[in-house]
Amino acid sequence: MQIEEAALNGKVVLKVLECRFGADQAAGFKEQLARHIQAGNRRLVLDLSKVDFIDSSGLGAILSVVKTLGKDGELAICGLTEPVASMFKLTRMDRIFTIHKTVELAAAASAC
Amino acid sequence: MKILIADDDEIQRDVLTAMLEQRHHEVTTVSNGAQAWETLQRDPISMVFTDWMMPELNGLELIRKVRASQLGRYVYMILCTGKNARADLIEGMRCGADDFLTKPIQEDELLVRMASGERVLDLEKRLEQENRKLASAYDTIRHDLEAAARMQRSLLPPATEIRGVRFESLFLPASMVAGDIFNFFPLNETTTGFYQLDVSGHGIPAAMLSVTLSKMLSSGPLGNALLKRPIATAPWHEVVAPHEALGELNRRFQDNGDMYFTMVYGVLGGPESRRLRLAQAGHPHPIYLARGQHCVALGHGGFPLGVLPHMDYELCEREVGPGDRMFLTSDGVLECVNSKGEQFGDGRLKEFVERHRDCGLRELLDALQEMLKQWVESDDFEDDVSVVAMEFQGSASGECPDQRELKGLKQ
Repeated sequence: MQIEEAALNGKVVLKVLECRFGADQAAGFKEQLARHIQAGNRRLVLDLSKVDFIDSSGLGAILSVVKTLGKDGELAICGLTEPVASMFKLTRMDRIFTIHKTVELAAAASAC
Repeated sequence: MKILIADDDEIQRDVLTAMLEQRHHEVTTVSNGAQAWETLQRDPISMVFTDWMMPELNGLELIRKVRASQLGRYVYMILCTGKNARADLIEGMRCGADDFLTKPIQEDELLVRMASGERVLDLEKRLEQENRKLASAYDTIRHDLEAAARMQRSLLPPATEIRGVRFESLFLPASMVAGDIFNFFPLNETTTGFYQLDVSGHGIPAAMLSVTLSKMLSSGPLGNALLKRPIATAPWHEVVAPHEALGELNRRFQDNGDMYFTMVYGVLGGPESRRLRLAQAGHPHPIYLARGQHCVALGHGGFPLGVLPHMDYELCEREVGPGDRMFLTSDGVLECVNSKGEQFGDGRLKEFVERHRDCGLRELLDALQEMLKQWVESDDFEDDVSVVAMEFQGSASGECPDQRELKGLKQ
């Protein structure tokens, strides 16, 4: 999976550069995020603004990252396109994650 | 090793035979290509020295014949020739010769060419043994998978009618075994339960979890604890409300690795026989089609099951009317993608069930199956496709308004 990395306000911003986030991308995503977490980056911002399709495997991959992060970690999500936002709504993931409109807002927000 | 020599020159045959027999090889000799071909079909010989010029079938023709045939083994072909021109070598190799031996035959050259041939044959033999092992392992796996698929299908309920509700279903697994499973069953004398669930991913791990879940959700003794709870007065149990059942299921099924599942569980009846109660966990919204109206999506969403403990689920309630229908679909239906990358989507599904509102449920599902196959332009789906269709008592199940369309689809 193509992911662009940047640092902002002491957080690592990971921008998914794929338009589909399904079963084929899930394993690569988990692998790359696990690398960041192992390297000690525990405050992550996930930018999904390029993604216009996510399925249960994609959601599962994000959820597994949340589990890996544990309680002291933080995963903020931003840039939901309309189809992705409706999937987050259906699965109530919009209530589990802090969702921000933009990367800047996500990076500025303090961990709750 | 068994070796065949094909040469029309008796002296050449004898010289080569003597050299090979001295090395304890078992030699068969023939005087032309046709005899050589007969011998190779009869005897399991894997190394051949053949002359180029021979009557009936020459060396090149023999090699071509061997390469084009299915002898079930590799035959190492060494072309013996007085010719040494580059063009001849190329023509020989193009026909499939493995090596060349120049006449007059020198023993040291013969030995290295033989050794090289034996290496190739040895590799080929080992490869064949490995392939046989793989093929046998694959057969075992396929056999087991077929048995598992049969078992999984046997868990799915046949079309039925329970207390005035007609249940039909559609099930098209993406691989032999599926992560989708569903059921409908009487919970007690007055209440009917139904569910559809989809374990994330597919294949064997997903299928194993879905089978375990279906056992937990049966109306048998195991499922009783989850779907019904004992009370102190007659009838000594009460049906657990769907949202509470999902909450309990979520608590019990944590730690599935990366697997989780989505589900709709509902109960119908109870003291008020027309009361429908259902809860949704990460699963697509059930589609409700009241008679004479447009489709509506039921439910308020909900978190997938088996990911995080202590999640609450919401109850959705409504009255069902005679002739009303409800459809539960897995995401495999909505996310079917056509060649342009377009998803089938819930809009198309709603439009479809509205257009087929006067068809029988079975005909509707058959037509939907055809439509989905046409949509993906294949008989195979990327994800499990399953639909549970229900129709509530009191409707006249008539003919399809557009039988021509159905017939057209069936062709």
